[in-house]
Amino acid sequence: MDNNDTSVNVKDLLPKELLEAVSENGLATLQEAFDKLVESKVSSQIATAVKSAEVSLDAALTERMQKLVAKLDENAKINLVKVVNKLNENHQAEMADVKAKAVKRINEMRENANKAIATIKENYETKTAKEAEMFRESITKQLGKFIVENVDKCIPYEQIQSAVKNTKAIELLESFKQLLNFEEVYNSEALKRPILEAYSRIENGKKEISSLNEENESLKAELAEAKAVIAEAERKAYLAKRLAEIPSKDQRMFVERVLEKASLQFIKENFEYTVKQYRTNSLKENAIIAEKTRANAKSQQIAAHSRKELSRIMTEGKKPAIEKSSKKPLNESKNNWLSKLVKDWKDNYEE
Amino acid sequence: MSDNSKQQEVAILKLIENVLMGNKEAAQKELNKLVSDRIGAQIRKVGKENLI
Repeated sequence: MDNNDTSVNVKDLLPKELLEAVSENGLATLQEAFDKLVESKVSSQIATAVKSAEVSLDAALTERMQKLVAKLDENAKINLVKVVNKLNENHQAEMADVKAKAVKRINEMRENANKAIATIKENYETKTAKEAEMFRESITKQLGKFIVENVDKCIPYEQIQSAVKNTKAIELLESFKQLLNFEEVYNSEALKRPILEAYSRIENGKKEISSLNEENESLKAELAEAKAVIAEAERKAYLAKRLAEIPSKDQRMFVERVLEKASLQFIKENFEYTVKQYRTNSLKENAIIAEKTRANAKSQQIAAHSRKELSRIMTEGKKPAIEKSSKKPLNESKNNWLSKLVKDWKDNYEE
Repeated sequence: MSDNSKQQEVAILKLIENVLMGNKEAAQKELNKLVSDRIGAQIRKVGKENLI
C-alpha cells in the first residue's frame, strides 16, 4: 500500500487521447509493467549505493584497525622486551646452571647413544654375518639339492644301467658262444675222431716221455758210476806211476798207505809233500826203534832178574812180597814205553 | 662333509658369484662343471654296481 502511495500513476503521465484509446485492462497492464520497471531500477540503485558505502566503510575501518594494531604491537613489544629483560636478569644464573646441566645431559646422552649405536652395529654385524653364513649355507644346500635332483632327472640312469648290463650280457654271451662252439666241435663226428686220436697221441707221448725220463735217470746213474770207475782207475794208475818213481820200498808203502784213499787231485797236489813227510818220519822212527830196542833189552834183563828172584822167593816161601816188589817196576816200564810210543805216533800223525 | 660335497659347495658358490657379478660365461662354465661332475658320479656309481 505504501508503494501504491509513493508510486506514480500511469494515467497521470499519459495524454488524454491515448487514455481514451486504451482500455482499462491495457492501462492495468501498462501500470503493472511500469511498476516493475521502476522497482527494478530502484533496487539496483540501492544495491550500488550500499556496496559503495560498504567499500568506503571497510577502507576506513581497515586503516583505523591497522593503525590500532601497529600501536598495540609497539606497546606490546616494548612491554615484552621489558619483561624478557627482567626475566633474563632474574634467571640468568639459573639458566647457566640449566644450560650446564643440559649440556652434561646431552653429552651423556650422546655417549650412551654412541655406545648403543656401537652395540647395535656390532650386533647387527654379527647377526648379519650369521645370517649371511646361514643364507650361504642354505642357498648352497638348496642349489646343490636342486642341481643334483634335476641333473639326476636328466641323466638316463636306467639307460646307463641297461647299457652296462648289456655289456655284461655280451661278455657272458661271448663266453657261452665259445663254450657252445667247443661243444659243437666236440660233438661233430667229422672232428671227433681226429680229436680223440690227437688226445690218445698226447697221452702216449706223455707215457713215452715218462719212460724216457726213467731211462735217462738210469743212464745218468750208470754214467756216473762209469765215470767214478774211470776216475778210480785213473787215480790208481797215476798213484802207481808215481809210486814206481820211488826207489825205497818202505817209502813207497808209506806213501801208498797215506794216499790210498785220496782223490786224484789230492794225490797230484800232495804226493811230493807225503814223500818228504816219510823222510822226517823215518828219522823219528829210527829214534823210536832205538829207544824201543833199549827198552826191550832192559825189560829182558829185568825179566831174567825177576825170574831169578821168583825162584829164590819160591824156595824161601815169600811169594807175595816178591810179586809186589818185582811186578810193579815191570808194568810201569812197559806202560811208560807204550805211552811214549803212542804219543810219538800221535805227534807224527798230527804233523 | 666329504671332499666331493666340499667341491660341489665351492663350485656352487662360484656359480652364484658369477651369476651375481654378471659373468655369464664363467657361470656357464661352473654350471657345466657341476653337471658333468654329477654325471660322472652317477656313471661311476653304475660302474661300481656292475663291476664284473
